[in-house]
Amino acid sequence: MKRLTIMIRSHRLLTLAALGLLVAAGSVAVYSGASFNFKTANPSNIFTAGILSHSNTKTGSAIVTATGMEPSQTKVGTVTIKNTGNVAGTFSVGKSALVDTPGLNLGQISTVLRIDVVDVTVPATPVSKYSGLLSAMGSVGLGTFAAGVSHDYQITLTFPDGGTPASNTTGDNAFQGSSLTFQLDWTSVQ
Amino acid sequence: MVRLRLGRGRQQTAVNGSMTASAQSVSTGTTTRRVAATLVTLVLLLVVLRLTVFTGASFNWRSANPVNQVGAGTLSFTNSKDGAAIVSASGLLPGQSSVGTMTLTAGGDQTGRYTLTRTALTDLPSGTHLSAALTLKIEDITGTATTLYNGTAAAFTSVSLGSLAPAAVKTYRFTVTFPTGSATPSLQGASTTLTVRFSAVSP
Repeated sequence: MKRLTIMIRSHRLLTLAALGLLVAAGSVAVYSGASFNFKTANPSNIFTAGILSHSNTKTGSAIVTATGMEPSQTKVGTVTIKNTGNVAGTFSVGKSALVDTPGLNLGQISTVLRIDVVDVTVPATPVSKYSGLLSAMGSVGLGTFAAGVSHDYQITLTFPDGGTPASNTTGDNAFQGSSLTFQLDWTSVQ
Repeated sequence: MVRLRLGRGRQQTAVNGSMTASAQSVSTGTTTRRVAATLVTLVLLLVVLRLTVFTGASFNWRSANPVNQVGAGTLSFTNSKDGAAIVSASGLLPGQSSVGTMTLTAGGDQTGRYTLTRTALTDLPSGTHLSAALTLKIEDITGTATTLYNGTAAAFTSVSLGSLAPAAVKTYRFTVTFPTGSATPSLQGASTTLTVRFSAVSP
């Protein structure tokens, strides 16, 4: 029993001695020859978050306003959307807040009013993005704009001619005096 | 001698005499595991929070063009003799005329193109053609009288009344004449019914 205790103590001593040597070796490794040193640095590595934003030449106001429209008439407005951030963005446009007010003969003009969204950035080669009923318009993809790129869009609203009404209150006459308002929302996402 | 009895989450040490190094080691291990478990829980919480806050995060930017407004116009008018005859004559003799007037008032908020059109012509008895003998003169007498049509009733089909702005008022005079030179015995007792319609269309 006594021998076992001595052996354990010897092991502890050996372990402590070994640790002491390791610390000494580390100290030598770190500090030996400390007279010379050489360093290089790459400071100011900057990581900045990208910026995604866009400008809208008609932001906060209407692109198209038309009163007193008659069948077969169209109204046109234009807007320019520019990626003002420093990263590319995927752009889209959609309508919201459509409010219909029936006319004298209870017709709702939103059931016939058409909208055309055309990219006219290059006037010679217009690109249709949406053509159909305003009421059916959802989110329309406009593609990816690189930073600094702008696109011109022509928004055309058309009150189609439904032919000669059969009576003073039916056909296109049903829409007399009806009106609507809506909002166009332009969105860019990374 | 050391006896260990493990309880629920708590380790009890019964020592004959004082606590040994082995017992201390077991206690330290338990503490370490608890600390480790706490850290793992915290890390998981952070991961959940990060997922909650940042999942699907990306930059986006919006602009809006509100209150784009569209309104349909209105086009209507009133006819002072709507649904009734403008001119009627019974027992008309050769050389006699009958005159009637009507007033048209443009309504709505749009200018319209107005037209007067024949929609029906009936000669009775069948085979007689009083309409070919009668003359019809239609004049705009709002100001200086202007003749819009002057010919036989049978030949009248339509005439343009021009463009009328909202609230414009026009008075028209219809004169039906049985010319002496057109009278023939076969037309005695004959009748003609002429139905006309005023209409307006947006330009």
